[in-house]
Amino acid sequence: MHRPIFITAATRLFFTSACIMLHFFCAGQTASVQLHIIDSIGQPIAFASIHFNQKKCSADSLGHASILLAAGNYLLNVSAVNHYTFMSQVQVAADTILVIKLQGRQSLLGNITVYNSRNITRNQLAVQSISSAQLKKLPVILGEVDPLKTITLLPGIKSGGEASAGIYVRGGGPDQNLVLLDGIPVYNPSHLFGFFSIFNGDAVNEIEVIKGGIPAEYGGRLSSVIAINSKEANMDSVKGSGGIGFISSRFSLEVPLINNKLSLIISARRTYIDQIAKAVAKKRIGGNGYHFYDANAKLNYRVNKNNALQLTYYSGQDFFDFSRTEDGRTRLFNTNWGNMLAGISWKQQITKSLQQQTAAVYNDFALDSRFAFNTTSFVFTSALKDKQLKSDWMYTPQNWLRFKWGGQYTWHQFNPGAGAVTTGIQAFKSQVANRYAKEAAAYASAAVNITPALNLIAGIRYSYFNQVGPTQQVLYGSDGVPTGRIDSFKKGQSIARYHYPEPRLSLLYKLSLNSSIKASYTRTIQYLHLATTSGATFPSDLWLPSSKLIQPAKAQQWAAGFFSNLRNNAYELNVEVYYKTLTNQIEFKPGALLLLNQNLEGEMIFGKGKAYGIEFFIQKKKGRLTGWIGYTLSRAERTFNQLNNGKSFAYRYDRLHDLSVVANYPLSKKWEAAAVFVYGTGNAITLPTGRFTYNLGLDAEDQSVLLTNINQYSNVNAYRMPAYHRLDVAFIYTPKPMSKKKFKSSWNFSVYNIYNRYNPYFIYLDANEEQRSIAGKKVFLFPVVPSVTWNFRW
Amino acid sequence: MNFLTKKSGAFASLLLCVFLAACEKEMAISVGPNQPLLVVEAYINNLLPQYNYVVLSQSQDFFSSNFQSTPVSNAIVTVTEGEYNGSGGYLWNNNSTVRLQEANTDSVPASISQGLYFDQRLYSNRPAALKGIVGKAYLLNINVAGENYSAITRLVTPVDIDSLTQGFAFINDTKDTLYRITNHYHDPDTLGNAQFYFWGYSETRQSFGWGSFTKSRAPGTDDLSNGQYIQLTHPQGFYKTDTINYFMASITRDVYNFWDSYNKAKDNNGPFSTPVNLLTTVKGNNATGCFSGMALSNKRLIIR
Repeated sequence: MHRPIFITAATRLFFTSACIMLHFFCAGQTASVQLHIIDSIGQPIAFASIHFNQKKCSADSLGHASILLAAGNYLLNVSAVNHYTFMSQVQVAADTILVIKLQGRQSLLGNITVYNSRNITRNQLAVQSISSAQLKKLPVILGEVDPLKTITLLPGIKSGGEASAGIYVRGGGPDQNLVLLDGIPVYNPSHLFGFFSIFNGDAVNEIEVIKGGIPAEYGGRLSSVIAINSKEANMDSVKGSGGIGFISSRFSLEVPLINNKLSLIISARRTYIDQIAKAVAKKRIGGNGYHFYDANAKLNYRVNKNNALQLTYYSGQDFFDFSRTEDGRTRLFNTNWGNMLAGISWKQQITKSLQQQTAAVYNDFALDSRFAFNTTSFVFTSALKDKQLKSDWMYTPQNWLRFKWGGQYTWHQFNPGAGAVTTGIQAFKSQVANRYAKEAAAYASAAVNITPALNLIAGIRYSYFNQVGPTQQVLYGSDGVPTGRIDSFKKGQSIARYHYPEPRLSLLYKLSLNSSIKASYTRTIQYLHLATTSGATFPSDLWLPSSKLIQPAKAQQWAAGFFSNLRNNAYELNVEVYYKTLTNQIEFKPGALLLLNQNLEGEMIFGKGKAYGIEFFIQKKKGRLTGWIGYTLSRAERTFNQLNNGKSFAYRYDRLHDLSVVANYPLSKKWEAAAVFVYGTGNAITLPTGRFTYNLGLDAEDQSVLLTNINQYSNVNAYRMPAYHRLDVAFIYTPKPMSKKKFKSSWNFSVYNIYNRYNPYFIYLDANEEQRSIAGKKVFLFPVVPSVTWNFRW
Repeated sequence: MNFLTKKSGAFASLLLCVFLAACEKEMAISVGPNQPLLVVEAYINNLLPQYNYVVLSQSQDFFSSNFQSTPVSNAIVTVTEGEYNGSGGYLWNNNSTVRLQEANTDSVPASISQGLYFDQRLYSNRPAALKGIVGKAYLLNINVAGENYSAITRLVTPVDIDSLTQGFAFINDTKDTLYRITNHYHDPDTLGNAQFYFWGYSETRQSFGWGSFTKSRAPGTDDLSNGQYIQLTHPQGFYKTDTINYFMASITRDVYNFWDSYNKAKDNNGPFSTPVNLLTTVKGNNATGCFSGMALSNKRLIIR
């Protein structure tokens, strides 16, 4: 008897929320209402007819519509062929985005309205998303919209520092984030040594980050899921967009190949800093230069109302060339690295309550470097290729009950490094043998409304990993000397096999219509490990599989949160606490040699870590001034027996305080302003506390003592870099905002670091033996940096 | 048009400066307290008795204004010869123990004599002075103010230098032609061999100490080249008529590891470096350093 009452109540809750969301604040004000009309499998419904009272508009082929309305009460009516009509009373108050899910004619369920902010009703802790529209309204450095940099403005997500590729989520490492582009894992998400991400802002529709309470369908990384959904093409007309910036330009073209059936979007971007440099200082620059390009393509095919196919492709490469001859000696450094991703997915609505998505993906990360100085040269290559099949199913027999299950299988091929060293006429070649691994997982979860207020999601993921042959492994003794023995494994022969259950649990309890509390427990296992020499994921990124020596990394996270919408949903408040433990964390021995090292595993040490903190997030969603404040108070530490005398030490990216303030304000119809302020405790680093001399000699000619100064270190990461803070502002100018013409353009004027804070990229101690002086020095990359970007679309 | 071109050029230059050139500022840095270390630099070899010595010094606070070595004087330093049994055990011949004395003699410049310990027989009875023997092990004992320290090393079988040749000439900025040297030798079939390469030449003929040879010590192993015929070209250029006194030192792996860490530790700044603590083969509280046993082979070459 309870269930039907609940359905009614839930439906009423949705519609009531709709009214509250659009509550009218300011009499006489106009507001922009954007609508996204989708079906039960999330596919856009084209050409839905939309009425706000007598005002009428239509969704485009992507299910998007936008309408300017005077503030007031409206009857919203959305109808589309073969779908039930959606009707609701709404009050329009301020700029709003509505996502409306229409049920197919066969469905017995009512339509569901989903708002951009579902923090109260969605049983998912620690999730946050940023849309493409939000991304483009924020200040950018050098004109480049960067989705990955933008998510570091959210609490609990930290960047490694200026120009750092790494993203550190709740005390986890940069390799512990599952970065997905349309479901395809990305191993190296950065360009230009970490300055920019590989995600072209024009090609991105939305980016979502899950920091905790990771659902059972995701696995393989310890700390987070960063899902980037790329844009889909318009189904009925050719559209284009692009931008011309300081260092790069980009262009997107949307082409309907078969009207309302088949569409293609292609986006491309290329930097031209190399070309500018050559034009300005040809003699000085010579053949040296750097550039990157990336290209995205997405093909969407609506087979019928129940089936859709999607093909995603990405290719990006960085190229760096440097050569200089000085005093008869040549230095040369050429390197290129990049990703190629491809995936095809099939979405199917099998019955009114059963749907599935099956995908096959392929990715390929490759790095090729050549270094030379004098008579010595190095060649180094490394690569990782994945082939993955996955299938996800969802069954919703009742509105209060939903099951998800599925599985995935991945074939990994690691090329951890092939290379050669040439000195004069001698060549030393090293081929670290390829490694192969099978990774598989199956999962099942159930989401159930135990009472109208209490929702439970219980899931289990069972993951399996097997490093297999064919491969050869050179065996080393504990002293690092090769034993002369080689272990050979036949094709398919198991080398190291692991399998673990990964339970996931989420609870949601609605305190009222406007507030809820949530709690979650997550256990995650990671079988792949990134070996890198520095904060910059360049140029020696090596991904390695778990092996006999390298145990899989494990994490457990407990989290709880309070979520509330205040003042008629004008404000969203989230407070979350978390505690995370990490085991089998990998560090390299100080001074470890990573390139061409057959004994790479011998250079590793293993430890554990923990992280805990509290995150506050308050967002103002209505009114002229919108934006958010995110603050995190946290600790992250590591413990390794071989480091710091076995005592725990602060993780390099341990940040006690981390604050982000983001604000958008429309100055007029043509001008909009945005500002970002960030503040973070400085990174923890190790600095020398003492020094001594070594390698004594005497120069007889001038009777001077020859010595080499060596630094002495004591505690690991005991020194704090200065706090990082900066203020960025942007002004977006749209010359003709009300223009009826198809071609529209706008200018983004950004100033990065407006008060010219010298945030250190790194600091060092400079001991000048000739002057007998010692000074601390900081090197900073970006003082105040203005930029202008012209964006256009038609 | 010209104006625009100039402006855009200036703008692009500014952009390039911003983008390509990082800026640097001085800043006040306060590091934590430092635990002083006894620093041991000890050598024994089979060819150069005057280069068998021990240097004792002490580490200092990083911001100390003293850039010279801080010598440790009045230590009791002995070296004892012994046999290695091949499985980690040693048999020491206590009758062979030699006491090294601090070099307060006229033959060693005063600037380096403090904290430098020699076998004094070098000046009184040179043939009897401490000299390493290939195949033997050596035990270094140090007592400083009642605190004991020790280190062990061995002289492995030296690898012969087949020949030393010149080539790979280049012209430097002053338009002089310089020549590089190539060491030709056959790496033994056994894995795990490691070598240093040293050279002195006309400019350094009168200099003293291992530190007056090439600073990098250029250690190498045969991990990638076991059993191969090696032709190793060094980057340094030499003028015509230079006489190169070239040494190849065969060393044990722990000595190689120490000097490898030395090479990493001596140039350890910048964003992509990680702190490198010098490895140590010295046992005792708060000590670092290495007792380096070096089995030398030698060739001379005159650049023509």
